[in-house]
Amino acid sequence: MSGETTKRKAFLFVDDDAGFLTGIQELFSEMARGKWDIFTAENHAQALALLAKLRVDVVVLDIGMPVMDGIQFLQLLARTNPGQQVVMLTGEVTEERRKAALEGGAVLFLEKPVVADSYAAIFAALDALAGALPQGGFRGMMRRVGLQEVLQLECLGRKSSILEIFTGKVRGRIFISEGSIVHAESGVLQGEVALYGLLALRGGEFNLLPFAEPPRRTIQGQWESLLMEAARLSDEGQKFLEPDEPGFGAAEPGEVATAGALDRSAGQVRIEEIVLCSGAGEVLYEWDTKSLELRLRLLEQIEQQAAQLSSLAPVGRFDRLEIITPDGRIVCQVQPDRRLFVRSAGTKAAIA
Amino acid sequence: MKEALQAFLDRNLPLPGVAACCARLVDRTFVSHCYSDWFTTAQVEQSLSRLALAADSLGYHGIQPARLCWVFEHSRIHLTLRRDGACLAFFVENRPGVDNDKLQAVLEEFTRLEAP
Repeated sequence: MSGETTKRKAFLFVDDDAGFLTGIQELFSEMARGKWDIFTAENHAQALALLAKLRVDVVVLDIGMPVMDGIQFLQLLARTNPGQQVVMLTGEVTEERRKAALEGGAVLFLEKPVVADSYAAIFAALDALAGALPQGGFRGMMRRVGLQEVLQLECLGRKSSILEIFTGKVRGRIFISEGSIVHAESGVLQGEVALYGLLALRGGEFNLLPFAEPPRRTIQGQWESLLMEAARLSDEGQKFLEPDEPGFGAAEPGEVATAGALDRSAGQVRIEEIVLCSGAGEVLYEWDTKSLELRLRLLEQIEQQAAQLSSLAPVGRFDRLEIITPDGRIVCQVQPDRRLFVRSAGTKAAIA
Repeated sequence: MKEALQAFLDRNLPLPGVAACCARLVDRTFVSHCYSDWFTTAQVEQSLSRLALAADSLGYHGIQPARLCWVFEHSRIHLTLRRDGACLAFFVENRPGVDNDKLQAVLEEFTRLEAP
């Protein structure tokens, strides 16, 4: 009699070495004693075709493959099959590869054994990993979903999770505990500033991870209020980009200084960097800033220099500094309630 | 360059709204003109020294300025910098009738003046 209804575990091995695939299939089938389904693919195209038809618990990827190597395929899988558990198995272990694989979302980075006995350790690791997968819930992907919507879903459902967000340059995490946003971090930023910065991102990718207690809880308050504030700040950030000035240094003081002044003369201006702070210097919005600290120091420096100029001559209250550089234009505005740095690039004709 | 600069300023100024102008030459001497009693020569020369220092300090932030405009409540100060270190500032009133295009053209021409 056997009351056991153990679910069979499914694996897909992707390797350009057909001999290796045959060997591993035979060896692991024997070791699994009928509890594993093993599929193989010699390239990413075969693997994708298989994954479109069936679901596997773990994809085991070789790195050194022609056309598309394992690291690239890992990144592709993160888009086509988000949530898919991937293990890298390579004969050429380097720290650089290990880092790239783990940052790309691989669960494990394993070295191909050189002796047959060591395959038992690989088998055990894969078996345990497949068995540890969560059984409940759905797995799938949502396209063109805003982070606000994801946060709303989590908060409304009184869930606990970590929303991990990443773009080419920004990485951040938002911690949700029993439906409340309790912490956010992005680079050196933490708390509401980090939350607003992450929610202002225009595109990127996210993962929902199981909740773990953050280093400290930096955010309090209703999630609805936090999301409304984030939306308001995001709108404000957009407003700064609307072209509304007649030309370099020609707008009235007090008006919002923007990089749009070049738009009318050239029509080819690209905003490259934005930092928006409160009057107290708290960063409210940041976009594509290479060194936030340097930009904050610049705004502070300009404020001090403007104060010196105001004391030397009857020029009145400072509004902003506009800078034309060989590459484009920079506007630094220092107002009692905000500090703004906008850098844009324009054509030479536009600058002249 | 002093004579060439003087001739250049005489040829282009005064301009509507320009309350004062001040140039600092490579040898750190000043050529300045005040077209109203709003600013004194000492004020514009001290201000220009500060402006030049401020422009230099932008290099620390990876910014290479060619022209700057400091916008204040009552006036704005346009500054242009030459590669040889000379610079020219216009102190301009915030009022209608200022010919911004002409101002920019004069500042641009200053950067192309031949050094002695």
